[in-house]
Amino acid sequence: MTAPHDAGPSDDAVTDWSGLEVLGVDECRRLLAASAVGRVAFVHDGSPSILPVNFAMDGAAIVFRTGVGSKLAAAVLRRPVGFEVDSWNRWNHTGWSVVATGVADEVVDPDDVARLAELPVRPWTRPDLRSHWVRITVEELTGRRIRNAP
Amino acid sequence: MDLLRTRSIGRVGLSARSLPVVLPVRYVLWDDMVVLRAAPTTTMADSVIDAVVAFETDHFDETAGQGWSVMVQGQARELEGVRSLGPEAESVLGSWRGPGEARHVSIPMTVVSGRRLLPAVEGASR
Repeated sequence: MTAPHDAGPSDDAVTDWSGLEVLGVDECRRLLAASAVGRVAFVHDGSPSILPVNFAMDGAAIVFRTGVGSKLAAAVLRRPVGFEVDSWNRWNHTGWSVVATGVADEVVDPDDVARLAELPVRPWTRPDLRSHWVRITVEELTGRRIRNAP
Repeated sequence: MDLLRTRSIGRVGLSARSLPVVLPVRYVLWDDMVVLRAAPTTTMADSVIDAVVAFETDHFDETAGQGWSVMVQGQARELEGVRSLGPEAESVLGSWRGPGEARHVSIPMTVVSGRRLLPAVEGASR
């Protein structure tokens, strides 16, 4: 796990250089598990892309559904990806974000697929075509929370 | 473009040492570009400026099962000599804290793509 750039002022919460609270790994995992939509970041043909997906956690791994031969699947399988979830309150300027990095692969074990089918991941478009599962094995997990700006 | 104007938080995706990175950012539309603010010496400023990046913003109503996302891809440039983007933009960008003088980064709308997600109907073809 990445350490903050430096320790903030002595406070209950650890803050980074800019005053954002650094979230612990357990808190990051909790926030990930409580989210339904995240964004996958990947590099395809040299260009970075970001696409939102409906996802769930399978243990410590992020899983989402995709179509056979989809551009997303082709771009991410067996490659490093970034993944982000966040929540913001635009009125009082509070919120948090969690960023994961890891490697994506396809879930092919029938037992795994059967288990994932029980997860509350409902694709919003063409569920009939989104029959494949992509799993991101998380290697690094960091999070930040912003409280009211002074 | 109209959808981009309705949000103020997005995410920037870039390739840092050939690994994809995604970071949340506040943004405004300014002079037909997506403009972010970065602290002077951060991963954001160092990695984004002069790099080809992706910018994404979205809005999902999880109860209704619908929403949209827009992605902009282009080469990020520093907006040199721009100290203020006007009061409206300042109110959006202003509370992002950091030491030193902020730098503004622009992402031109070279490639813009968007998708709208409607409630899924099992087996339907749209």
